[in-house]
Amino acid sequence: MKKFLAIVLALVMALSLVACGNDGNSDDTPGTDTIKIGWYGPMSGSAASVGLSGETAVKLAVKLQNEKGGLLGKQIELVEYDDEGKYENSVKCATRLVEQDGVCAVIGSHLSSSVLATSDVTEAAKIIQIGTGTSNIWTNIGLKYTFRPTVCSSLFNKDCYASMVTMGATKIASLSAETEYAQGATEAVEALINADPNMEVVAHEGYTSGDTDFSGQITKMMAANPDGVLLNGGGEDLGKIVKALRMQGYEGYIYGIESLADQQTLELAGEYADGVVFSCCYFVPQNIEDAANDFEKDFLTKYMAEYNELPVSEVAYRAWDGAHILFKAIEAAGSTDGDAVRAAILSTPFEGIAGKFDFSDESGDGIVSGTTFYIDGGKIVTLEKFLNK
Amino acid sequence: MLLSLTINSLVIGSVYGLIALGYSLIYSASGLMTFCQGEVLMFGAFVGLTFYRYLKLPFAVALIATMLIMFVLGMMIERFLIRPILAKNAKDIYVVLATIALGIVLMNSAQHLWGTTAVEFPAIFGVDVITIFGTRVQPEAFVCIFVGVVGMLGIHFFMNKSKFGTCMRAAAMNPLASRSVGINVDMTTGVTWGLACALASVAGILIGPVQGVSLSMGATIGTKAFASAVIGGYGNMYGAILGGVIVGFVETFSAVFISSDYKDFITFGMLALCMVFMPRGILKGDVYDR
Amino acid sequence: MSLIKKVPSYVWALLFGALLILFIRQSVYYQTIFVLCAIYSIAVSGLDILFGYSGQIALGHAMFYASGAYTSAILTVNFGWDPWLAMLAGVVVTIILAAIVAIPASNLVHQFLALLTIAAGNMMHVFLCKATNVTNAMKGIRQIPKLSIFGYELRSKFAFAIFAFIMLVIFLFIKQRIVKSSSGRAFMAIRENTVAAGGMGINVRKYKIMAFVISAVFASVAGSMYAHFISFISPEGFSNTTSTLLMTMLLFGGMGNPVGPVFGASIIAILNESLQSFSTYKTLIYGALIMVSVLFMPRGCYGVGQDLIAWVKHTVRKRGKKNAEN
Repeated sequence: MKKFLAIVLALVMALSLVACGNDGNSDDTPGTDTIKIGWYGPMSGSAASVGLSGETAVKLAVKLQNEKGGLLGKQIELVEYDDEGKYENSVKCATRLVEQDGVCAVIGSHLSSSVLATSDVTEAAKIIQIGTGTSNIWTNIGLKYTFRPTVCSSLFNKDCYASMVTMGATKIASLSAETEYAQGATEAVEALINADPNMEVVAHEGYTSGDTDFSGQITKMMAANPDGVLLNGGGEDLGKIVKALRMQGYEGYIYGIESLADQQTLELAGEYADGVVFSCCYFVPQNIEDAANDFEKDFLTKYMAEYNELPVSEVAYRAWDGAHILFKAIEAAGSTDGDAVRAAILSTPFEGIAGKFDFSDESGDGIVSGTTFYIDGGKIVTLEKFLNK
Repeated sequence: MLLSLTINSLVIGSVYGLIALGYSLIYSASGLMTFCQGEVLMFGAFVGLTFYRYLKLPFAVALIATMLIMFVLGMMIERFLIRPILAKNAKDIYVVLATIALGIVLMNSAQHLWGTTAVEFPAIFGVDVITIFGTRVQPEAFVCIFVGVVGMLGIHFFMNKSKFGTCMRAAAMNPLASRSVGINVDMTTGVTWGLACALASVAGILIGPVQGVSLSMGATIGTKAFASAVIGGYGNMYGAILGGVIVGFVETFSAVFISSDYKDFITFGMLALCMVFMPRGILKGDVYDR
Repeated sequence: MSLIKKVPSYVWALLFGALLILFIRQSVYYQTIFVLCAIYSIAVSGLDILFGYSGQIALGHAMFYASGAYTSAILTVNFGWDPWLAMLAGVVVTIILAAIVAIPASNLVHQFLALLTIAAGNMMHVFLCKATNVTNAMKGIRQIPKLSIFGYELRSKFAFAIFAFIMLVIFLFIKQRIVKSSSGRAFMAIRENTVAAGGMGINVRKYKIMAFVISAVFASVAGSMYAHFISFISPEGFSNTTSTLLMTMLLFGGMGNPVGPVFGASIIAILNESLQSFSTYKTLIYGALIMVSVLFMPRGCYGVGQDLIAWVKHTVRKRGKKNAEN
């Protein structure tokens, strides 16, 4: 009986392998009646919550576009793969999208290391990739077919530094995760602080994503007596850290960039989030009425209608804008050829949730826009508004 | 500063210790290593969250209901996963692999049941912060010290003084001989797994208010608790708590005085050194040669 | 039947490989998967020497995979070394590293050895994550140059696939030679009964260290190949998840034989791909499959294969008998 079971199991596996071999072979021919667009990113693992909010946004964009008649008179077919947030899987997913599924464009992960790792594949195949990561590591490095549908985080770092100056902070303690995103942001801000004769970094601490206990780092930072704390890392950890900082008696302002505006940070930090100053391009508000512009309101209304909740992370905005940049460029180019779409992206201005995009400088970045926000009594207001009050 | 560091180390150390008890319990009662306590903790925290926050049950009821559910889950793990593997005379490593796979399954089931976002676990006690010798600590974390010590003593006496506990240890040492003297080995190991899972869920509920409940909450803390159990003496209940406190101290102090970047490096370095120079841990754990 | 037995098994393997290469010629995606399968197969074969043949559990092999990959990457990118030389340097670094772990580890038994390797593997991972000056931390190392053979650069994935296949054959050959040698017999004696092996005059410590170092070298070469193939590495690829994956592949394939590790590595790698269509349920199904396979096929695919062959032979013989009776 057991041997029989084992044999059946082996057969099932063999069959699934065969099935895997088959599904790719059929769709290689161009000129089919759908336009294929690929998406890859984390749908499981620790980055899944953010990854899925991008995925749902792209899915919604494709669905609505199809209801409007699709692109170039054809329906859009979305092919999506889970990379678990690991770049090796991202490379496999991107290769599969490009080589096996024959997609005409790829909307990529919010993790910049994945975008960087897969850019080899998409560039070689002359396929447009819209990467939704914000790190500066993959723009301005000569990639021709890779674009960012949001603002590069280096601008936020400058804004973050500016906000410290505005609030009169002079002694800054920093705490950042080991991730490339957090390290890069912290380095950038610290470089600006060190260049300023009036300011100094009094403590520079690190933590590992997913850690539970930050009391050692916080004690050390508090001992340096800072008047500003700079935090960088993932939303889930930052929520814990903000709370722990306040619990241990830190009463000054906490500075950072977009990840401090993550829904999870606000959820976990709760009332302790007051006094957090963050620079970003946009964030998901608590309700639709608080949307900053019509594009955002429009998107949130549609998202609410489809999923009955607001997106977890602003990565949904990035993906939504990215999908529409792509749709518009394909319409403008009149074809799905990589070079034609690229030319269309470079020449067609686009307006979305983030603002007005212009990719004509060929750097891959198309927009510069950022605002600094302040959390006051659980409500997010612009820093300007707070200061005027 | 030293005083507050000490208190903080004790608090986090007792959390590690509490989870380490689960590892040690399973080892001392069945000689097996498990690698999914972190995921069990996460799952338990979510179950607790469901009862306490979503169903709005009183805390005591929610806690007991969670422990019951997790106890049954633990029994089921033993019955349907561990026992069939052992029945095949498979090597221990298969159990390790099975628990790792179980961890993956638990994690993804939780993702589909409760979603991927981190959520807040409402405070259990009325106050958010209590002050001990000028150090501000969250009461839930502080309670871990008591629960840890009570758990340690309780399990130690249970394992060493009660008849059932003696049966458990006998079953771990030599299953065949225990069966022949009339010990229900399957029953004892099942109860052990149940207890270990219930313990992990208590830890999950207690650290919930401190750091929120999320899918990845158990990963790091589970590994460190494992290191604690081993350093203290694998299979020894006092060792589990002692190991937890040691890891807590080393971590917190090295973050301050050496480098917060290399905090985990030092923790695992300690584990490695411990394995080389005193593999049975500080309080001489049990060694089962299966 | 007799014809099949007359032809040596490696001829069959080569024939099979050639067929596979013909099959994957069409698609770069298949080539990518093929190369990764081959790389994992080398690493898992190494682990087989350690666990399958000499019975030592190691749950931290990602550290040697990492030391190979990182040495290769750092030397070629930062110092402009030739990839082959860098790969060799990676092996040297790995041997030193493996010896540091193996010498104290050789005194340990059972779970203590597993724990030591877990600790060492985690230490390596933290080091990779934090040592910005050496490993470029989480930013990873980009643009790792491709390997070239006699001046011919393995730029296309297809060329690399052929190269990876040849490497796999070479390493399987080396593995068989080691296993069939006197050292291999010493390994197996240690696996079966350490005390008895010592009593027979086998230097248990020496052979334990030897098995550990050899398996680390396999992992190191696989790591170097991985770095040159993907052209980008960062610490996340070398966490203890990778160590567990290697062990899973070994147990799944079946250990202590030449083909088990290759089957295990390939099937798990391909399985991960073919589950893609289940989107968010992918890892759930993966975990459940591993659990089920641990439960129902404790000797791995190799064991199932053996059972299957035995069953077929048995039925054929029965048929033959029946026919004869008629």
